[in-house]
Amino acid sequence: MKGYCEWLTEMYVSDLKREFYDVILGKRVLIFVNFDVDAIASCRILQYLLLCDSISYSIIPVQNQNDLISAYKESCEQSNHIILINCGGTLDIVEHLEPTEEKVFFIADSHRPYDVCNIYNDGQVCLLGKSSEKEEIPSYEDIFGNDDDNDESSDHLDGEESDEEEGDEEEIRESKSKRQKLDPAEMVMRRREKRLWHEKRKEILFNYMQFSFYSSSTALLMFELAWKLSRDSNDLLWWAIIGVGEQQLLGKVDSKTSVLDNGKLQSHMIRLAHLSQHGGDSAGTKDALYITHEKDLNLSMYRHWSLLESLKYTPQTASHFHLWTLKGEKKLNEFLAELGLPLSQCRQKYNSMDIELRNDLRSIFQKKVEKYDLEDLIEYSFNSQYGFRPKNSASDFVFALLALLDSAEKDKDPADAFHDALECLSNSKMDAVYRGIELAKLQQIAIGKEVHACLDMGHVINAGPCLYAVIQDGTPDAKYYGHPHSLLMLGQFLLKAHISRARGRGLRARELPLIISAPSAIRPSHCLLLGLPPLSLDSPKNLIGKAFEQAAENTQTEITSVFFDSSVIEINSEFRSNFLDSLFSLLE
Amino acid sequence: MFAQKGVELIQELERAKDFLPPFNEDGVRQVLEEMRALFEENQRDASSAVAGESEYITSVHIRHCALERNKRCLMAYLYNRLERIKEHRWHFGSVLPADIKANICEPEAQFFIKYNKSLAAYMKSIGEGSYSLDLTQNLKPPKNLYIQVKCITEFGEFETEDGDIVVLKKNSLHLLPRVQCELLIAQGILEHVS
Repeated sequence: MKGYCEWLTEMYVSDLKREFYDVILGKRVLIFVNFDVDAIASCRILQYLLLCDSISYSIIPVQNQNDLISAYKESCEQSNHIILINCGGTLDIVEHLEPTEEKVFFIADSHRPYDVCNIYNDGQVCLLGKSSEKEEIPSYEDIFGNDDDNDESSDHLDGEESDEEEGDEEEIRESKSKRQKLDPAEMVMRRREKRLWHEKRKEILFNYMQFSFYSSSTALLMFELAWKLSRDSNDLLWWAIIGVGEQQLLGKVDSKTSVLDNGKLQSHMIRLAHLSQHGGDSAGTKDALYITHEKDLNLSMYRHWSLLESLKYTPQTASHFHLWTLKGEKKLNEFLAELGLPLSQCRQKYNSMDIELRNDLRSIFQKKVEKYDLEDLIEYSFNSQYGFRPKNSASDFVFALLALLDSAEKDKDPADAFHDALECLSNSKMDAVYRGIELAKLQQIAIGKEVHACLDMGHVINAGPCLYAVIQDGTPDAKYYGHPHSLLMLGQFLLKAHISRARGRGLRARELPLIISAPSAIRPSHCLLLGLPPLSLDSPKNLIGKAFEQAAENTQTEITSVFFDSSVIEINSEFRSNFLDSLFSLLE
Repeated sequence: MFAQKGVELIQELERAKDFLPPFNEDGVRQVLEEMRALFEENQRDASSAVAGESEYITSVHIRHCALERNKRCLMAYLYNRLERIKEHRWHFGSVLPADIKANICEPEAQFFIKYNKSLAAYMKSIGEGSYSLDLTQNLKPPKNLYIQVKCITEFGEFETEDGDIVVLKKNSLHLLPRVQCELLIAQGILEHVS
């Protein structure tokens, strides 16, 4: 049994070069990519590697499970090697896609938990990366073990197996005679054992599947593959940084993972900088990409905005100063006055501010953050610069990409949005990035206004086991947050703002999850539902996904989880209230 | 002036550098007529020179020079046209586009067919086994054999030369051999993305 298990843990492919890249070398591969920034960044790195080795590929963007299945059915004939980026890990691939035997799936997915059938299978599904202790994957014996080590007792449970044996009469007689030999007490014992085991299995699986969360970024994994192939460069590193940056910006990973990831990225950055210094390639330095890791203001896109607006629409500062009130605005002005930043300068575009102010901006803020209890305003961030062009931070890119991804509307195909975002990640296309940033600003303004409106109108309702907020159909700017990413940002902003306002009894709100709903921008008459874990937990582990599934089962409602994240679902607006009622009673 | 027409022919060819102008039959005929006239006059004067009138010898000489020049102009005209036709063969392949076809005359068409044949025979002879090497592909060494393309229409299955099947679904990205994409890009099914 032990040997068997050792073989099974091999489903984790940790030696990416030998067990993954060398396998696909010279073959045709089919790649399915999810719609998130991390997936796009990983896809870009992989594209570069495949181009270097002339591995012909086809990339198909997929949004949800049904998309994946139909796209697979359409194009599975073209290749036996299939790579899934940030999708599929949580589905039982073999069951859903029904692949023929020669297909091999490589899954690079940051969604957790993995489906147990993907972890333990006969080699058709390979999970890229290492398993981590944190995931608490149940052992093989606990969930499958009894099925095959004890044929006799499983016969009466396992209908199929006994069906197969019917043809072979001799065997049946043998097994019957064996069974007769067992005395009834033993039979009862075995049955009892079996039942206990099944109950235990159910419990283990429930505990395992209960929370949905994210592991470290797939882009980083791909970058490490590039590094092992000695194909790493600053460009690739920058893409990896963007992938990691998305996870951190949207709060998908806990602080421990993000510190570790940043550490890895930083050491790669230093190594590459060292290499290029000693490589003596001075001709290309004018257009070369510089990456730096430095303390920077943690304000949304302030390099492309005015400081005042950036302060106003950054969730941390907005909820800290209560910027939706008159008093809050006065407080902000007071803060700026104490910093010694003239209002006229703060209203300017950042690029037109006084150069002296711009150069000292961080140290100016640094002096006062402690007094105002805004320590998280200054954090380490990765910044990049092409030649002598203005500096951009990784979060600027992430905002741009997210805004472009969320720019699909009724008449714009989501896949176009995907390609727009992918286009941002090529060195010469800074225009695409700037377009994305302009879009992101509009989005942030809309989100800020909506938070303001929700708080003023008291739209955040305490339903007992959770908070919920519904953005009604026909809200003017609804098109901006009818997408999963922007709705997530809205939700996080709203939760933060709501809690910063709460006092006394309201503080219990810290321990409540938030359910937020908005009309979908792509499919009319449908709406998105998104669940956020409580702020007090300080961990992005989310149990709403499981609750959504359960509630859908109870109410017989059809839900589609969007972007393979179980905590974001799409549902027909008619069934929403019914669904929510059932959800609340579940969460009690 | 002698040989004016012949120079005009060459100038005409020179002016149309990027394409093949229609075969100037009229111009060629005029040059030939001029040459015949020169030749007849020369013959007459030459016969009288033989008879003993030596003062005609210089004019015969000049006319002969003009004849030679006309001949060279015509040869240059025809030769350069053929060179251009050869160039088109490498550029467009064995079937010429209709607008070029309209501009060539019958003997030139014959030449084109023969040139095609010998090129094909040569290409067949240098390949290994049953494969023949297409010399007209990749005249300059390509940076990459594969290019990245985006599919912009719903096309369906496409079989590549080496037997792989690619499903060209709208909005999917592919890395395909350059050779096979060229036609599809020209048809507007694929789009090259950098």
